[in-house]
Amino acid sequence: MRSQLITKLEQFGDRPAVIHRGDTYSYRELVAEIRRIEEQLAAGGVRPHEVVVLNADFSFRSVAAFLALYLGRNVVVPVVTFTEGTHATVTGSCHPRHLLKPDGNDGRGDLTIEPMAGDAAEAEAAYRPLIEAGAAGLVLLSSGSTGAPKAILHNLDSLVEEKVGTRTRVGAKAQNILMFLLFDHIGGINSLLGVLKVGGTAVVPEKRTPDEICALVESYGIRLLPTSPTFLNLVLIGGYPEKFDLSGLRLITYGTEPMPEELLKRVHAAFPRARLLQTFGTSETGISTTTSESSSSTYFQISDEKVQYRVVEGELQLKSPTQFLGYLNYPSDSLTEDGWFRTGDLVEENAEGYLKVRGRAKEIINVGGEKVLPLELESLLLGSPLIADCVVYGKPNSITGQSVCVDIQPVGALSRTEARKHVHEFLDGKVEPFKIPSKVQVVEELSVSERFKKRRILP
Amino acid sequence: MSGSGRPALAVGKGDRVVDDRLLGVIGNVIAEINERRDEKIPTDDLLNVSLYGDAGVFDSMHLVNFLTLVEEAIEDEYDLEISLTSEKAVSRRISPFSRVERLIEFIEEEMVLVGAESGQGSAV
Repeated sequence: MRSQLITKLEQFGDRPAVIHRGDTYSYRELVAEIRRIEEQLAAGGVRPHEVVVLNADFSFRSVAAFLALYLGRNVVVPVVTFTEGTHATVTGSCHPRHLLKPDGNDGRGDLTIEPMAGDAAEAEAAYRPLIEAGAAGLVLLSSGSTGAPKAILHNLDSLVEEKVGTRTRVGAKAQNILMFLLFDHIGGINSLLGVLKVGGTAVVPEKRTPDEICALVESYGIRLLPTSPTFLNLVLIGGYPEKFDLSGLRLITYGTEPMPEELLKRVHAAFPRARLLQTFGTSETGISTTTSESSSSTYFQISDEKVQYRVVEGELQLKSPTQFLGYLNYPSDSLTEDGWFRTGDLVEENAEGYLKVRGRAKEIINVGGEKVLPLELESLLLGSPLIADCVVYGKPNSITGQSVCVDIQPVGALSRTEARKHVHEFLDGKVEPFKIPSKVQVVEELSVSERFKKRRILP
Repeated sequence: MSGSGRPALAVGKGDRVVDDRLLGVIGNVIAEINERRDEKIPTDDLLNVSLYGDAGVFDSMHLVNFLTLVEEAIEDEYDLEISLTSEKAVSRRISPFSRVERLIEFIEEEMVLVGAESGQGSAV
């Protein structure tokens, strides 16, 4: 498989592989860079199966370094930005031996390798299944919105085999893909492997602002934009479809958080020529191939023959051959006894077998025993012409347990009293009375995580 | 617990002086709620309106909504953030939700505490 990957990349020859900071790098150059980095790794004392922290976002050299580490059967821990939480998890649970900065300390230099103090014996115990299989590993850190980030261990050989495959389809139409999702996120890794599979071009943004992303879509005629609902709404709120020529987009995929139906309608109206596809995946089970019922529907099907799914008490559970091997720092209590991964996503299934995400189990607001899911209200509220965006969350109280709160980002100027009256009138008759928010706040903008998910206070 | 017939403006039971400004705040909140309510809450004897319980005008959910509005109104009017749905409010021997007058007493106490904690009158 290792030599086949290189052969495959070599066959793509002069096709552009990566575009970064205005420079275009071909597949031929990518292979040469992989070979060069392999030599640097050997010279730097990096041995097979050692854990290497790859501290970088997407770049020509970071992609090459990732592939070189895969070829070297290392365990790769990609980290875009070190935070206190990720640093503690990496040093405390991942047993790293090397810190690799493919573009140096300032992101513009040459590759550097620094030693890290991970214990070799502990690493051997933690990564034994990979060592025995002779496989490379990948550790993804969860965003850690609740507690320390989870360190999620994958068999990188299985992921590459599954996503890149061994068949070469040089004739397949190449795609320009914007690397919107981050390098240390399952979605970003999936985008990268998707590019390599078809000999496509990874267009790397410097910043992930609507300005930068839309400018790249226009200049490079990007056809595929993998993104998140929150980011798409930022693009719409900012009026970017009028400022840039985004008509080249043929496929916009959205994932990482549930899509409110009303927002999907807005996106569909703004990009009538693009197909809109719900992606579904978790850091633990990888990204599954999905089919949306239509571009204006939030119902989707898991059409991945290798992924089994079932719905247990409203929660989606998945099983796939490429699912994670386990957490390095948590008990695997998200797996059922029979090995299914509990996604924590609540779904409903329609008569045709399509699924729709209703929200996260941990986001349920309990008002005196009645259950409220934020997504239902957010979806409705986004249908109001006065509301640009909103986030619904629960707040504890000693009378009903929790109450429903909403932060509103209005389209124009709106006072708190006006916003409250509007929310009440708008929802009246559309939802049961207990779902109507008791607290309405007006905010200038909603808080968004670095992975472009809405930040929501959990009840 | 219904009104005793006297005009309920500034003097509650026991001839205690009630803060007019606070009473006004609560009156405005009740007026806003009445706009959306079929069965209007009587406002002619506001101090003695029973909020929750056997004769109360609210069920638990509407009580929370009402108290949230009062909290917001106090924040707007006094620049003080207090909680009226805390364990402390719920566990009082004489419930602050029995009558508006009791609620006002509770609010006054909480405002003094929060005001003292935060220096002088600034929001916490």
